[in-house]
Amino acid sequence: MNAIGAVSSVTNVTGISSSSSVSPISGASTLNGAGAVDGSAAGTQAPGDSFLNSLSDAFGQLNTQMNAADSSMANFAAGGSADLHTVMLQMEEASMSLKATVDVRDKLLEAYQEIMRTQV
Amino acid sequence: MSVFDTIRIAASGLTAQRLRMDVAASNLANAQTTRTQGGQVGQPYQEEEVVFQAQQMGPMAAAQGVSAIGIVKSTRPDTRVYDPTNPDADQSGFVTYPNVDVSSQMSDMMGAARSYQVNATVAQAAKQQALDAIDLGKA
Repeated sequence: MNAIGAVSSVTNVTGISSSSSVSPISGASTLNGAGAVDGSAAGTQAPGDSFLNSLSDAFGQLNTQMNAADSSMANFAAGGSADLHTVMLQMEEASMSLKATVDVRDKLLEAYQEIMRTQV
Repeated sequence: MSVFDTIRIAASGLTAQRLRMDVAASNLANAQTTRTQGGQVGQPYQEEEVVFQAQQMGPMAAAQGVSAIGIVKSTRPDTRVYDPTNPDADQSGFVTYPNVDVSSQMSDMMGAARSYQVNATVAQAAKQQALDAIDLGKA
């Protein structure tokens, strides 16, 4: 409920950062290289795949997790058969994903603002 | 392997121990039940036991969670007590009580509660690890 609101507000932020300017994305493509180091998921990515694509994938995944947490919480509150620990862990997973996503967003915006401050 | 796999393994342990607890509760509640659900005299409740199986979770074969594959009836013989006044006594005056071993069920219940705690601690540790990783990104 609240969580979904937070997600939509976060997706809005990417909407802004993706549509506002293309130049910070090419600057951020160095982050793509850094991402390739950390996991197999990034390793399977085609070299031409943009950082923006993987970011929107991550947002899609976050949204799925949030929805799953939300529906299992609603099911539990309605007296459904869901286990309490399953609900809590799903909510924790969603909240950790949100934290990670917000951190990535902060880093991106920081980089973008840093570049925008360039003297011309 | 993602940090969520660790949490899911712990969650499968939590679910398994909850089931074990449910079965122990059922056994203890029915320790004196002399009739089965159909109301048949002379066929008391049978002690139940959960069978667990390791189950691969996530991409790595080494990362295995647990799942309950079934509940089996114990083969221990029923207890027969001489009590001719009991309505469920047979012609020779014996009442057949369930084969539930109350003391072993109590220790099983405590074991399930402790194992639940262990799995909850694992989930907590995995979560803390993920939060520490996120903190690496902070200035």
